[in-house]
Amino acid sequence: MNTPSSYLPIIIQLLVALGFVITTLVASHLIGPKRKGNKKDEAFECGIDGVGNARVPFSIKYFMTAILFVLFDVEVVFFYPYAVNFKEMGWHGFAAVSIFVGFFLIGFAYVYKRGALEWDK
Amino acid sequence: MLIGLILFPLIFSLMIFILPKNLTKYATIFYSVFSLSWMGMVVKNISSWTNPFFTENYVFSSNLPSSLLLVLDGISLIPILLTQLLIALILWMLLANQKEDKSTYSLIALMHFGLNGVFLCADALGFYIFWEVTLIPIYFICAIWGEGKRMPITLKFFLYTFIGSLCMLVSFLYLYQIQPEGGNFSIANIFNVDMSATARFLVALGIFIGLAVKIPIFGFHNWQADTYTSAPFYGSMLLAGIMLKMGLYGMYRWLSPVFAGPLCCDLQWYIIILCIIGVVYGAIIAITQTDLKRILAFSSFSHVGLIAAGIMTFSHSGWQGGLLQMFVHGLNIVGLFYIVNLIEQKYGSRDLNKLGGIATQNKWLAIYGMILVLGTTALPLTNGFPGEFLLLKSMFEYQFLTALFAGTTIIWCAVYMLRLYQKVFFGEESKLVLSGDSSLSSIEHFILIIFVLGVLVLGIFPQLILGLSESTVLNYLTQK
Amino acid sequence: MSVIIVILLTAILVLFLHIFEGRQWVNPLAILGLSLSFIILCLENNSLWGDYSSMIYMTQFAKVFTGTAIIFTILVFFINQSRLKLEEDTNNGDKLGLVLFSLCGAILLFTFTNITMLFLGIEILSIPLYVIASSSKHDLHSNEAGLKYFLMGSFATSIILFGMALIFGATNSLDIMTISEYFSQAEISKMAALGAFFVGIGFFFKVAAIPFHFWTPDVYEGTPSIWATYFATVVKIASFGAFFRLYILLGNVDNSPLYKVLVLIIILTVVVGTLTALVQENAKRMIAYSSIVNSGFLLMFFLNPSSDILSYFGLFILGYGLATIGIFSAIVYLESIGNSNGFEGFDGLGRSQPLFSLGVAICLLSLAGIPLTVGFLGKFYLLMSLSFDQWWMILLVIASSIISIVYYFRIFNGMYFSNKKASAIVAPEVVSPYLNFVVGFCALSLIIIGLFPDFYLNIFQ
Repeated sequence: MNTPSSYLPIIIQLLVALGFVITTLVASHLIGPKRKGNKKDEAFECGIDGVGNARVPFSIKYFMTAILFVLFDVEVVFFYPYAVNFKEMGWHGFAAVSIFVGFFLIGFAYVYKRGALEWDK
Repeated sequence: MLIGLILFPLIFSLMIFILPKNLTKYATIFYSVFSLSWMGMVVKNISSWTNPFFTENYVFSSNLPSSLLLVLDGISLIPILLTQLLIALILWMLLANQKEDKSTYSLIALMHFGLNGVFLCADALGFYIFWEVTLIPIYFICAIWGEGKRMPITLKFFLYTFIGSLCMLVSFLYLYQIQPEGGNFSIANIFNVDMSATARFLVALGIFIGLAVKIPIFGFHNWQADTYTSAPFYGSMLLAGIMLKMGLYGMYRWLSPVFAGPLCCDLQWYIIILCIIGVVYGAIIAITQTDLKRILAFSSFSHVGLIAAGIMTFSHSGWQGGLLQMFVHGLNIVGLFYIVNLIEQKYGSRDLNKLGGIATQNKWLAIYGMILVLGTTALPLTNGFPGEFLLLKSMFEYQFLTALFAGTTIIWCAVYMLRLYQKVFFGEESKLVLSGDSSLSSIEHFILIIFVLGVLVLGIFPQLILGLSESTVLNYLTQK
Repeated sequence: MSVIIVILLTAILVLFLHIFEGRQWVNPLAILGLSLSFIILCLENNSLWGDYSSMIYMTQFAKVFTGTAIIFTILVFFINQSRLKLEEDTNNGDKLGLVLFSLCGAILLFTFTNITMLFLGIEILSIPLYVIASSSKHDLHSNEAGLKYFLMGSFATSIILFGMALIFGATNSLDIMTISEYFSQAEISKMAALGAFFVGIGFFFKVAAIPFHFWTPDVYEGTPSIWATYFATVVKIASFGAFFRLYILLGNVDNSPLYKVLVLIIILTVVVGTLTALVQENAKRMIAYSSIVNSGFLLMFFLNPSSDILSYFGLFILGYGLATIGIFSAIVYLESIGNSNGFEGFDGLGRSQPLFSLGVAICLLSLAGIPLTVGFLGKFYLLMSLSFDQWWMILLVIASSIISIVYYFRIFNGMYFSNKKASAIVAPEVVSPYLNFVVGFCALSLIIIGLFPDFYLNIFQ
């Protein structure tokens, strides 16, 4: 059962996925018509000429918000298995999950107090 | 009893850091007198002169295959006596010089602790530890209060000795590891092993390198003259007077038992050859030197070569002569270093060419100097003679040729010592001598008289020292 | 187990105390919490923590190592306290919290019985440290250190994870006893051997063995010195504690897939580390290379594992840690009076701060392996643990010890024997009592345990 050959379907799946991506990319590159020119190569900005570099530093606030979102998002992911096994796990499970949520709440309070969510500061 | 000899210096060394500065002087006097009288009490308590006089064992750790095993027998008694005497004298000299830095006294006391440990400890690991402990204070003394290019010189000295002692440690570790289960580092067990002739040779070589650097024996001596010269006078005294004896003592206690079995090559012969080369080489170099301290350094190098050669013959006269000469050499070289220090202090130089005619200015110094110089050149009825005689006798018994070369030491020694004496004390007074201060304080008289008495008394009654070790040496040699 | 909980709660309390107007109490609270956890550790029985699949087991070995790590952290916090007197730090609570979290990870590394726990431990230990390394926000070196540490650390962790996956594939278990049983067979599958190999490589990264050491000097140099102390001691202990347990368990040492790699790496580490340390001009970098050399020595204990070795291993790492903390506190002091990290920064310290530098000197002597200190006993036991068939290893230890004298004594000589009119003398500021305490504690324990090793060694039984 547990032989390398039993992984074969996965490899085939992998190859097909990769092949599809590569084929479509290469094919569209080859088949599609190409016209070059100054105007043509510019980034499209509603007809206005582009100014400056696109790689400017972003405000850290965006990252903060994004990372915090990921954290709390993951928390939700943990709730699914708990919800499914809610009855079987009983009070013990409830305590565990409460502690887990508690930690998140403490973390949230900390983040809030430290001012990570204050947009105008 | 014996533990006092180790503990008291350690306690004093820490105490002096805490005590206020103005008490340092009294504490030092008390300390030197106390350690001498403690030693006297130990000697007085020796009831039977059979081997060993005292044995004390203190177990420090159940995890270490080693304990603090202290043994006093004839062989360790002589260096121990020498250590107590010289440490006290060196402390008095420092007091006479009005040295105020209390860390000096503290370091010397720490040195005292290590030295007593080396001479008493009959456990290989403990021996090694004390051996290394002596290195730290002397390193500080030479590096802080030294002169000239002291840093690289002191580091060279440290590295030399450290490499040597690590070789010794590896030998001891090997001796421990080949013991059957439950062995330990005590001297009785560690040499009670079977090994091949090759292994025996390597072990002996490792221990020998460790000792040879300290003595130093020809080939391992590169650090010596520079260190003696750049060290402060008490540093040179500690090095030449006592630390050097650690190596010689180690030959009795830690090297000779390895030679009980067959070796794969004649190491004994090679060592003796090296020693004899050292005797001649050191003497010739000493003749060409103009710095008084360097002359003494090479003279000491030459003298200990003979002692080491005598010990390596494993004969009765060699061992007894070696022990006597250890004591005498320590006394004489420290006395001479003191005279050099006085000359440098009073006339501002220790260069042979800049000195001269001190005898007319300072006749007492000249008299003390004369007696010490004669003692060093082994004139009959001075303390150098009986030891040197016994050592040469052992050389003759061992082999004629080596004795022939070793015997020249008496001539060489007379040449450089008398040259030194003549240039410094006789002749026309140099400018420096005329402008210098030519008086001796009473404490300086007192210290020098002790050395002079040592020269005369031991010259007439060498039995005072020889008697202490007689039974132990006989015992050792018959067991072998 | 309650130790981890106490430390965790302390960390949370510290975080909140910092934001609720209790800034000056943050550091004392952290020290108090750690002391409490240490007391609890001493009172607690060794036990398997049965809940949640018994993944944590406090063995006696783990207990001693946990205690050591806690004490080292307390010392680091004391050093930190000295800094707070001098400068306002608005992020102190965060830093302490992060260090405490990483300490929890360290304890997991001593106690794991399941390689999932091992992985979690490594991550909990490392992730806060990436932040700590770059905690000096406006210092480019610190930023560099953080990034380098992060890249190298996560690289190492992923290699370990890959190795674990292979081991799991071969043994079909994550439980360490099952894995250990599998590895004690005469014949093991190639997959398992490869897994063990990768886990080993990952750990060589973590303990900074050559040729996986390149991050160490940069990280030690760039990280603020106080936290570099933590990196050099607690993190080292944690990585070694985990590695040693794992190595013994993946045992069957003679034909262990790791054995030959280990020998090669030890030789490289000691030789290259010693020689590179010799040419350093910066005290922190020198300490970094000395820590690499010490890693090499610690790896030598792996060659002949036996039950006694555990305690000797502990003794060695204790001596290394205490001495390193002592020297780092000198570096922290010198930085606080504006001296450089070069060796010349130490010039004249012996005269301006005699007692303080006496303590530092003892730490240096211990690292150099001079008798009457733990450092000597550590090296002595190391030599004892090697058999004379491995004479080239003994030679390596001896040669490295001799060369190490030269570079340790450069600090030593600067402190005591330098004639240069040094800045340490020009600025005769008092050493903070906290630094004095730390150095005094390190020096005294080095000597006391050096004289009476039973205090420490008997705890292992």
